[in-house]
Amino acid sequence: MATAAFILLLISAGGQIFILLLRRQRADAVSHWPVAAAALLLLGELIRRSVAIDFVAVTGIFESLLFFAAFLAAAGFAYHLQRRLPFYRLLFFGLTVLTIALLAVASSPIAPADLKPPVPALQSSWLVLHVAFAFLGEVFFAAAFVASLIFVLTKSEERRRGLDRIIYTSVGIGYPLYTLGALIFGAIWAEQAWGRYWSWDPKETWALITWLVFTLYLHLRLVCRNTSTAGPIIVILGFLIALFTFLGVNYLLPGLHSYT
Amino acid sequence: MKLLRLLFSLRLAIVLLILITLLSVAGGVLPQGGSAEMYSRLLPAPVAGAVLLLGLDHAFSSPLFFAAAGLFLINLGACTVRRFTAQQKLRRAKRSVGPDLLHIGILVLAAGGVLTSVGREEQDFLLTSGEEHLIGGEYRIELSDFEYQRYEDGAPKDWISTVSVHRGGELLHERVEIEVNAPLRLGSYTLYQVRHAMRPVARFSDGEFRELRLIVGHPTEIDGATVQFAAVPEGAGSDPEEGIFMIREGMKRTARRLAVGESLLGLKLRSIRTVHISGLQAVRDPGYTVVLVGFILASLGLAVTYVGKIVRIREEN
Repeated sequence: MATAAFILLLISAGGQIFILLLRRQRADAVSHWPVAAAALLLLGELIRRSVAIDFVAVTGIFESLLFFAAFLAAAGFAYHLQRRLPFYRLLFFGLTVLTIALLAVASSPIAPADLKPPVPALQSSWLVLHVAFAFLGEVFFAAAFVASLIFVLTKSEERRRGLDRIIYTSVGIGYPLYTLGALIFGAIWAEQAWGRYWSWDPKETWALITWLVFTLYLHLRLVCRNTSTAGPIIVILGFLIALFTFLGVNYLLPGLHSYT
Repeated sequence: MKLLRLLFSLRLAIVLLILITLLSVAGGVLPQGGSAEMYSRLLPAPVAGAVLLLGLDHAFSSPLFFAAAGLFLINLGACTVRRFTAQQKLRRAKRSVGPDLLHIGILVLAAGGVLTSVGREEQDFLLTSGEEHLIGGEYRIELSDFEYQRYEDGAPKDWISTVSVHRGGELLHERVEIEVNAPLRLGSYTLYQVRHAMRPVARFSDGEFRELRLIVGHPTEIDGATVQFAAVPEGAGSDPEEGIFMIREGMKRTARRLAVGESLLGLKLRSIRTVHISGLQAVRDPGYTVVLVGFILASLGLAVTYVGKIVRIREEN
């Protein structure tokens, strides 16, 4: 199912490139449907794996990538339906490319697809909430990231104001989800599994750094003009740090989260 | 007055957020707790010097980090008071207490963190079935059973300790289970299932009343002497016939190689078996509840802010 989803996303991305190159003003009424189908297929694959391991399949790197990709695709679909948003096509295209990139990582040897039931420390409802909320938050950070990339490449102040609204709204939705998932639910799970809320484990430290960067963005936006590039640059940095927290830390900085 | 205005300022908060983020990145990238030689070997000399000077070899307990975090919390407290006071002057419909709740939650979390770092007590101990352990001179924990569950492929599925808890001769809990992710709360203590171990256990008895089990590495008092089951001879397998024991009587220390059937301090060695042992941890953390309250306040703050924004956007539209 993950392969079928990958192919659907590639087809949609191809169609989107074609439409973007043609610069047609008419609404693209087709390319979001393969993305929606891909999201459903990925969710189906996660359900299949959950049934096989008798636990919610979010405990391995492969499953986490699938979960992130499924909701990223769903978010792309949802953003594409918001046709009054500026650059909604580019936003949708960016999210589709990110989803394809995640699935490409999932198909690589660094994310083995073997079905592995969770080790004792991972068998917790708090872990499921921790992972789910953190990734849902990151999905909105991804949307803010794509909008920020478009923002820094755009010169028009009016368009920047529209993009700023998308960035701020996306971070505004993603931030509470990420705070709850990555930090609060994660800490509650850590207390039950390891006996302490916080251990300065590399994953925890980098999740905190991600949170600090987005906190910085939200506070900076209170003092900066909404056409300033400072905010979007911080969002770009924040999302890259979020990706490093998710993937880089696992392989470069081993710690308590090394099995994910 | 100028200093006070600076403390209340959002700009100071932004500067401190940047500083704390940079210090956290340093703590996240640099290996922590290494020796000066290690940093000199890994980094160019000026960088290694700067790392040691700024205390980035222990970034999260360095004076710089404490100063930045402390100042940030003072700034956060001051901003919260100022914001909350300003909110009271607004009409009820215009008020937004969400960010205040979130900020108060963060302050409470910090207070919990301080309490934890000052007053946390930890006790790690290993138990075999039938053994007891006293926690804080108050709770007597007796391990009735330890189960190591595995998946079909041999990977660990769960470690379950079944314990009975006594306090002052009174049975508080009879045969309750402690699992990974399911700790047992006992007043101010929490008991966690943290690990399991495979260890040789020597069983001694005098044939009448006394029976004693010694786990490798754990010293025990026997008639005024301290006896430690040190090791089993190399290549002895899972059920060795011999063990090496260290005995300390006053200043005198001796090592004895003892075979099954031989005696030590009037006790006969009956068997040596390699068994699964439960690894438990008793924690007394005065910050536990405070941190939990901080989480609740911060979560409420996030929820109230979020709902408030949605309501305002709907009203604007």
